[in-house]
Amino acid sequence: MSRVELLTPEGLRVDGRRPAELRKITSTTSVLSQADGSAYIEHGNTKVLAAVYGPCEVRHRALAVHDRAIINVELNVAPFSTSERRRRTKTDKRLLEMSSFVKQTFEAVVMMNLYPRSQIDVYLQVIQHDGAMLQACINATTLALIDAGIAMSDYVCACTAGWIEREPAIDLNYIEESSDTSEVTIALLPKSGKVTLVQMESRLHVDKLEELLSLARDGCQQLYGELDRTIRDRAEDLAKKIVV
Amino acid sequence: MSALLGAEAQGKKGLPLDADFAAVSRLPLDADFAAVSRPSLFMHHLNISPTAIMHKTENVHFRKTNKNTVIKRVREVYLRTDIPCLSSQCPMNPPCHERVKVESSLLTSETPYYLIPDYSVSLRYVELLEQEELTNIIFSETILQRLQSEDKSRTYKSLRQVAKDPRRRSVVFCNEHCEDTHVEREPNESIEHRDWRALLKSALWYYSHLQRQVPIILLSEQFSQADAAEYFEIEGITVLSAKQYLNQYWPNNSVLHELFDSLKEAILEEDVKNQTQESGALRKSSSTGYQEYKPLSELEAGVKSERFFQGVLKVRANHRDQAFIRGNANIGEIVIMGSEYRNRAVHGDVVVVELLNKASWVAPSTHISYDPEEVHAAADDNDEERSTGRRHREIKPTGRVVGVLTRNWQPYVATLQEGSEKDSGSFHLVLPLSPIIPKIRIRHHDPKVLANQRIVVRIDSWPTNSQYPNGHYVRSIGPVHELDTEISAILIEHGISVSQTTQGFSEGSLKEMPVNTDENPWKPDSKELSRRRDLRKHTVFSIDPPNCQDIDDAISIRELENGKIEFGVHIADVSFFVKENSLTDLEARSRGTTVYLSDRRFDMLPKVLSEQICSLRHHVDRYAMSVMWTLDSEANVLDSWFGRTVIRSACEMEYEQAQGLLNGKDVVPNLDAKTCKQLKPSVVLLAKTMRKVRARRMANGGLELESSEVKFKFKEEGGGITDILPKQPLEVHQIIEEAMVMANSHVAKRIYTGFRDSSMLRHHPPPIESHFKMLIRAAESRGFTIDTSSNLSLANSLRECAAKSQGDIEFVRLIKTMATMAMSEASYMSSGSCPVNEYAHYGLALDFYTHFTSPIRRYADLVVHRQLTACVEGELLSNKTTALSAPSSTVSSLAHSELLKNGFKMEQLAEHLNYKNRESKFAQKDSTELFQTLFILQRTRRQSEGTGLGSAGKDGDEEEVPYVEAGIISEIRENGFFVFVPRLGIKGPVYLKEKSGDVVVPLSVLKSLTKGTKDKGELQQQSKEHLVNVSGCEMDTDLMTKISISVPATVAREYTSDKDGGLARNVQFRLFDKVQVALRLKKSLAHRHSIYMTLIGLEPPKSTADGLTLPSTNRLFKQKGSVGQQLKQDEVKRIAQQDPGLAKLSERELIQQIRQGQEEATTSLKYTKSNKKKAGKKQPDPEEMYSQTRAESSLYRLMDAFDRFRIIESSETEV
Repeated sequence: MSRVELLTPEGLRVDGRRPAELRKITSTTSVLSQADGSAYIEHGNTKVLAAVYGPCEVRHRALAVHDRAIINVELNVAPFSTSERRRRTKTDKRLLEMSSFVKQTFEAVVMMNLYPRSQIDVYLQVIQHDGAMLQACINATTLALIDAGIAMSDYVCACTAGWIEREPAIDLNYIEESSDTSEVTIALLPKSGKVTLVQMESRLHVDKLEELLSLARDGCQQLYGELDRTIRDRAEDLAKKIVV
Repeated sequence: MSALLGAEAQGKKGLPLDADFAAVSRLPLDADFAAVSRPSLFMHHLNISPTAIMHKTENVHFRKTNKNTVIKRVREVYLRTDIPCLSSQCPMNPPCHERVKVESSLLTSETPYYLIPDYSVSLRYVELLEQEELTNIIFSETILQRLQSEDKSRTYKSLRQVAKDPRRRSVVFCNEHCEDTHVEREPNESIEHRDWRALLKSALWYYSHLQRQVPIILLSEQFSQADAAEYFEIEGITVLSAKQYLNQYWPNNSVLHELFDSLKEAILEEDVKNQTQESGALRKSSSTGYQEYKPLSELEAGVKSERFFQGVLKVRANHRDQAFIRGNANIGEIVIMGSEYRNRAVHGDVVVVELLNKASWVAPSTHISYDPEEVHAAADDNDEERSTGRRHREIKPTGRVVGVLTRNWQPYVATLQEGSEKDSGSFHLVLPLSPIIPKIRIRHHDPKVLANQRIVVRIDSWPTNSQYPNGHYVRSIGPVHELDTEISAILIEHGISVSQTTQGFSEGSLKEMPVNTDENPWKPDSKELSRRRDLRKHTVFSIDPPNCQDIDDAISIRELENGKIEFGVHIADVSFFVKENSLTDLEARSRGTTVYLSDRRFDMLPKVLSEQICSLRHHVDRYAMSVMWTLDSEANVLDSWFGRTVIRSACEMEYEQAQGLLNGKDVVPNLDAKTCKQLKPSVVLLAKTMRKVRARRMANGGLELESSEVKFKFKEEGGGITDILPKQPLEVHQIIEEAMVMANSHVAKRIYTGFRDSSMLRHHPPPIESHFKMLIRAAESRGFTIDTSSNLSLANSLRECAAKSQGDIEFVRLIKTMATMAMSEASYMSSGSCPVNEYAHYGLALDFYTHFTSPIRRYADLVVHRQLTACVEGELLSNKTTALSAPSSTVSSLAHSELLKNGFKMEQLAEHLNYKNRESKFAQKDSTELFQTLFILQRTRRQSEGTGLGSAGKDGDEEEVPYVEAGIISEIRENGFFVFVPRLGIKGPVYLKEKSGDVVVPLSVLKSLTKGTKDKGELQQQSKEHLVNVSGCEMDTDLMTKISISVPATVAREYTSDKDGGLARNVQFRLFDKVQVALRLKKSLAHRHSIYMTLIGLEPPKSTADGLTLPSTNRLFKQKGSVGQQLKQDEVKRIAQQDPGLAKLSERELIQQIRQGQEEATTSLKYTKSNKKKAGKKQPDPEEMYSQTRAESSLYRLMDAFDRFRIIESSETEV
């Protein structure tokens, strides 16, 4: 089997994108009626459903913090999400780690002191996994939290970037991710330009990091446009209903 | 709020609505996975291509996994509207390739049509598409993707190479990602049909995109015009098979047609099945012992976890059965024994190796293989080999190949196996010329045509059930053992000119050349003159070998009034004539270097430039790139200046003439007195200055290394070789070399300040300590210690060796050659690609070095010239504005080409040039060996006159006259040793153990050890004694240093009539012992003839009591009256005379050394002069005999210009 050429000399990636292009984004909110807020997002073929419950009273008294809320994130990856079925246990270390990333990201953005002694539950379900899972999870959570009406200081937009065959590229898909690329995920507050999360698990030369980060930042800004439009469309929709 | 929303709405204008939006809101869980494709539209908000609209579809296919489950793979595909057509005839404004950033050559209007090959054609006729005649080819992404998915990476790479080559005007069209040409596979449609439809659609798109101006020719073996009409209206598109196309458009090009015919017969994968059935009958068992390769993912994981090791497979040249890879630092070298473990890997492949368990580790055998056929045979029955290999020697990690990452299959030169032409059937085995390549099975309808021919073959595949790889015949070069055939074989093997058509320069590049005819000679342009510094008033001269046509360096030196010295090195300004990316430049880049073979050369640049306009001839104005220094009286650089100049050389001097002037002569041959008078002070001053510079560099640890160079004397006509002469160094060589080294290193520093990330430098990494093991042990055996901790200590200990060896010139030479062999290779690099401390040059003891002084024959120099020009021009500009701004910033402000600044591209270029250099060196070596064997062939045949071609038997013919030479043992192996003959520069094996395992020693050796003087009767008899082998001896080897043979008394008695058995019972051969050997040829059909030697006598080491006698063989030798006559006695003396460089090694004080060397040279001249008078014709004057001025043939002068084995810089005389 020959190695897949991740970037052709013509400058196209395996799926036909150019290095600085995002995949097609589809997103919507309020997809679940039961939850306080919910959202569904697709980054190409990576599909994530997020549901937010709360803020409500903390379930275990001992966990309650007197002056702010706590966030609880649970991440579940469907066994059918990849082409080979694989069941993951709830105690899968990777998943726990990833949910804690999501949690930490949002602890900085949600105005938690508005909800003392309460709890916000975020349930994430990855339906289809085609790379950049963390990015999709964070973006879905942002939409769901907004949908739930929880006060946040800003959007949180996440984007991955990686170095594929000598060129920096954003929004890596599964094939690109799994062939040894150095990958960075950042989460950005688009209005202030602050970064709340940088996650990288592989080695990358220091000189190249800067370029990668700035590219990922551009990607986040683009994503922000998309997410914001979804929210505004939804708001417009609701506004119309009120008028009628 | 509403205002905000309004603004948003405006922003959305023109956005196609997401078609799936409604569906999405119904989601999440009914996501339609089964859909084969689900096109939807969206727009991209990107800064680079704001108008690029992309469709998203999905590519779904099913695959079987290793666990035998079927899985479904879904891949996104984005269809774009911004895929450029890459044609210079694009009607869009601006042309569509300018709207996206893309690096590609463009299709042109040179041909009246564009070619689109389909999969069947690309697979089967890659070589055809590689031919330079075919231009304007569009490779569709469809076929490239299919080639990749079916693991035809070699074909894929070839096609990519064609598309990359700007001369081919060929492009890759991403039709699979272009919205207009994307084709979905329909239900029940075969892949072939879908691909065919995709190609048709691309062809149609091109035709309509280019406004019906350019007709498209689709090449297909599978489909015809009618098949095309089935799907579309095919206006402007012609479907042709390769044959039809060639007949129609290239009816008279025999090269293409021949190639086509042979390719047609090639074995392809689909043929493999019936072919294995056929070959199954040929072989006894179907088990080849090969195993399937492990899947790539497992290999990669294995390499990462260090379970497997990855490396380039190298096959030992003299043991085809042994191969090795260099694993990582922990494990070192891994040996792979036998073809079964090698598992179908071929020399040069990148393989993954798994270690065997320790119990089966073996030690690589160290015996000298007997002949190339045996080497090939050994692969067939490797059991025997392995049993002999498993001895008590040092055991090495042993492994087996479990996977091949990259194949390195190239065109190989081969010969049909003897007798095979009589076989019926279309499959034949061919033996590659190089013994490290396995036999190849090819298919050819008429083997008689191929018999006794050297042919080019390519390997196509190597299935597990096949003992040998499958290949196909490409073309025939000519009858075996003919000079022209063998030389083209050398060229092909080293990739110097694979295509016959590329030997000349294309018309296009010749058109770029300036005009220089007798009627209309080239003259410098007055405008250009005003831009250059005028040095025509300076005394400039060049020193080169006689008859040198391409003079690329000249020198000027003069004393200034204040006692300072102005010293200039002037190099031909090739970069002025060869503009970057011009056709000539591209051609030169791909050639990389001029290749000098023993009797011919292959130029890098057209003759107009290399021999006329760029060559710094005397009495004409020439453009130059100059480096001017102001030196103080101690030769310290006070100031340096770089720039473009115009010069007028006063004289083209030859080395001998310069040496003559240096030696104090007032007039030298072939130069008039006036010029001599003018030049003499310059030459003397130059020598004085350069000696100081050299002494300083030596004190820093510069190495003086040695290599055995020879050159050939050719007969004026008839093409015979009259003699082989070792090249003799003069002091002038060193002086010129030093001047060039000085220029190179200063230029290197200069361009490094201008191009921090991308300057073309040449570095020489320090050698790997373990490589010195051999040298150290060899020196120890003679009681010397060698300190290899740094280049200075190495240089000192080598000097020590030379001083203490009491004039044993060969020993010193050999020791130095061994040191040279241990060195790593110097190579080009881009300064951005490694840390600053790796830039240094070990051999020359310089921190910065590059190649600047030979732009006519090396492409690297041309690049350096361009970089230097850029630096200098940048400086000029900055001087005008601000005096002290950094030059690097101004360089970037100039509009210079991408290449000079792009570190990555520079690195690639450096790699390419390294490769070309290495290959050309190997080709040079091969051609020297070829001529050496030719010489031996002539010599051994001459006296036995009248032996027809090829009538000589296999080996060791009795009627053959032995050609006896003095040699020195250079390497001890298990079953014999290698002898180096300094006079001829030949190293060859001497076997002490026969193939059968019998240890044999020539009788003459035994006798010469015991017997003193012999009377004449005995001598007569003795002439045959070297042919009598004493067998049944026992042998004991101490690897690397000595080999001893004991003759049992019983055996000894048989061979001697004397009662006391006048034979030595024990013979010892030690490293560096001097021996007498007869040179012989081992003839072979499939390979080149190889030289081997038989022992004739042993010369007792000088230290032992020399009361006994001269070796008897010396007399035998005299009787024969062969050419080598007086050589033995005079050998040492002669070398000492002719080689002041060596003689003076015994001195320590460096400057003194040089002076003494000069004196010696003078005395030697006097000596030989007087000698000449006395000896007359019978004893030819050595000076005359080896003089470089006496070139007998004009071809021969080329040899002078080139250094043969020199791997290291110090020896790279920039002549």
